[in-house]
Amino acid sequence: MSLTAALIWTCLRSLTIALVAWPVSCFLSTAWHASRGQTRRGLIVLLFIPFLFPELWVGYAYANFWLSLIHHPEWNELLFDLLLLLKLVPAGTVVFHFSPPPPLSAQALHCRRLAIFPDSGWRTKLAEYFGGLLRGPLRAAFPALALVFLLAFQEYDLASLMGVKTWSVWLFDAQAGSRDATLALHHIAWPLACESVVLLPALVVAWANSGWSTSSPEATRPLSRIGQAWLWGYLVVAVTLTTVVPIALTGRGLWTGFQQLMGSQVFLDSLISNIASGFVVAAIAAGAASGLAAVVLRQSRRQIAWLCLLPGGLGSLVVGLMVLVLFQRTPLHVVYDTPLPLVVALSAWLLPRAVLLQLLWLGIRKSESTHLAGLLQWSPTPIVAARGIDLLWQLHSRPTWFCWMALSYWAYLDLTSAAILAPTGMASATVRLYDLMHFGRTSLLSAATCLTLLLPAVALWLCVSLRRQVFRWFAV
Amino acid sequence: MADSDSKVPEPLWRLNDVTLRGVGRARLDRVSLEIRTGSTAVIGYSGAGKTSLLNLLVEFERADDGVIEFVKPPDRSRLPIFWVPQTDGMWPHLTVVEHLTTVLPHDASTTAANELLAAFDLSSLRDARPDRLSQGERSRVAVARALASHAAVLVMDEPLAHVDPARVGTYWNVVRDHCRATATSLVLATHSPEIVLHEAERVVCLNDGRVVFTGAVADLYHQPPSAELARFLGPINWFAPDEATGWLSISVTSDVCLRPERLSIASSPAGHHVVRASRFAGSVAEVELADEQASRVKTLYHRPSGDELRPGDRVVVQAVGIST
Repeated sequence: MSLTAALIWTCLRSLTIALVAWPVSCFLSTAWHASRGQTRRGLIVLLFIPFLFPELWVGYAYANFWLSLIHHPEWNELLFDLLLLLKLVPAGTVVFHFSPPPPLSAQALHCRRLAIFPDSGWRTKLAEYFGGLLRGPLRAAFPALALVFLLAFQEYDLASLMGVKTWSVWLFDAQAGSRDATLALHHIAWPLACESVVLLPALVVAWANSGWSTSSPEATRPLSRIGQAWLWGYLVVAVTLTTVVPIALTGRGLWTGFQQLMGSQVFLDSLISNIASGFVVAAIAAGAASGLAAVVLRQSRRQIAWLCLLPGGLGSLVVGLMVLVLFQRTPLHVVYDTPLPLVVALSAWLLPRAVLLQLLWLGIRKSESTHLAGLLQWSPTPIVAARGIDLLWQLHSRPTWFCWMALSYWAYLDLTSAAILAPTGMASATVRLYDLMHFGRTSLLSAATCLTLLLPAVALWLCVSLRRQVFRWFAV
Repeated sequence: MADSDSKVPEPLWRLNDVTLRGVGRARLDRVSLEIRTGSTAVIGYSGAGKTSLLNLLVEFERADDGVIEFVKPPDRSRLPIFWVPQTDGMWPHLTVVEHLTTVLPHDASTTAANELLAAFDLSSLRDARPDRLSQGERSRVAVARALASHAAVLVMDEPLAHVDPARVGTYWNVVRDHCRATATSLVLATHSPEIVLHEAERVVCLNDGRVVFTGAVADLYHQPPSAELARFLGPINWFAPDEATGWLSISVTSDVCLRPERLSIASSPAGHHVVRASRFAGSVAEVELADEQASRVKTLYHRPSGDELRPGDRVVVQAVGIST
């Protein structure tokens, strides 16, 4: 398959996934709005598990399965599309959920329809209907649709390990072993053009939408019994296919795998060294992206803020190749064989995610609630002051840490930029495992995968737990 | 309502040339004023800058220009300031009762919290989290939390705005009693003239981000400097000297401002004025009168004491408490 064919096929697949994800995300967002208390918490957890569960793990788990479907590529394609859809629906849902209500509310649309004379021609009625749709629900949905399209378009890990042809797999394979900047520039031109066609209008619409305030959020009603059944049915299927099945598949023989791993001291040592170096780079990039996101969000000129998100929106592979060109063709080549290019690429790639997280998590929390908690700090009663500090931790510091943790973990899991830009002798553990995963599933590799993917997550969790204890200790 | 204490209250805030920029226009434009202990209402039409001013007082926002000085109350055993923001500022992970116990300074916090919950009819919602509360319930929790904080100064941005009118008076009684019993100063923003008249001693009027009046509520009510300012505290009857002669049959040298309770419109066959329209709206009625001699029409507000006036009725208009 040529790059052009792979590109067209990826476009069609991504468009289909985005269109199918639209009603599903819309339904899940409505359910999210309508839910309260424990139900809401359960819904959010189940909703985000498929999105956050590492693609590398999912791809590795299903790797043997796709080999059994080698004579039925259409079934393999369907399975891949389904997994990708289930993983990306949460991203669309979160954009739907936090999008401001459309400038034309459902009531406003209805009022416009009431204003059409009954004897108006069908053209008037059709123009009115589609005009309303474009200014109302479709305009609100476009950024979510664009995000799902772009994420599906940029997908690499899952496609590569499931043997599905995409432009990213084609390009990565073509680029493998070569760090030729001219070749890279030649190859990324068309994917870049395709992404820009979606990304630029999406940013423009998102920027325009961010200024809306003419209508208040629509009132939500609780879901019907059938709606509830669909909701929980969907969530169970999504979590099962994207998380439970991969864990179960890799879990078989895991104990033996860990025993083998403990017996291979050299392999274990080098793996831990790779994990550590990969995570340090990821953590630095996450810190840089968080800092940049804070600066971007403080920008009074919002056009500049939105432009800063452009490179990251193009995906890790394109950003990696662009940074490769930048560090090979400019005076920056003196620092080419250092971790700096990788940190730059990861930071640029993480920036839109960092902005989104800060907007959704901190933007909401940095508010009157946080300020009130801050006021309690000035209480002359030590216990109240301590409660104020604890509240500040819960409302502001903890979300900040979680943002940084999520960004660090995303950067750590990144495969393409790390493979292209990591300096000699600093290959990340994920790249190393990815190379081994092409040889099929083994107990040792499963254990190494678990260790690689879980060790940083556990370390981050411990870090937050300790941080909280220290915070409380100082507060009391 | 009026300053009962002859002693001048201590200043709490001094604002000097304070500006807060906004999109297209300043949200607050070179504001200079002093807010003193006791109760102060900040009033103004929508977009006048009430919330912006309160946000600066509690340091939720910072001024772009000018100086704001907060003189901390001398009682160092209390939290200096607490706030009821317009959005209620709920802590999403805490229950209603936890909102109160978190800020309560003393050990008997459970009893005090229960009393406040009962006072604001929130007992049945004590274990509910904010996402389960209606807007009215959230605004009650926000006010109850502010009282629970025992802060020396409470800043409230349109408190109890979403509470049903039948019960809001009861909750204001709780707020008033608390402030009196604990010598708490109150700064509140509101649209409601009734709340200003009931709860505040002094008033700050804002218009387009500028302070247009500051002083005692009683002064603004009875001797407002202009008709525009007078309307901040409800309907008025404003007469220029020549109008006063024609409508009230009195001779004055300056404008006369009469609140509805100081204007009597009584049906009388000998009256010179004819009712063109009359609309009754609770305690105040709006009457459109025609002066046949001078061929002019004026809308007046009064407190009707008898039968409703009908179009075509002849009436006599009199100012109560002003000698002819």
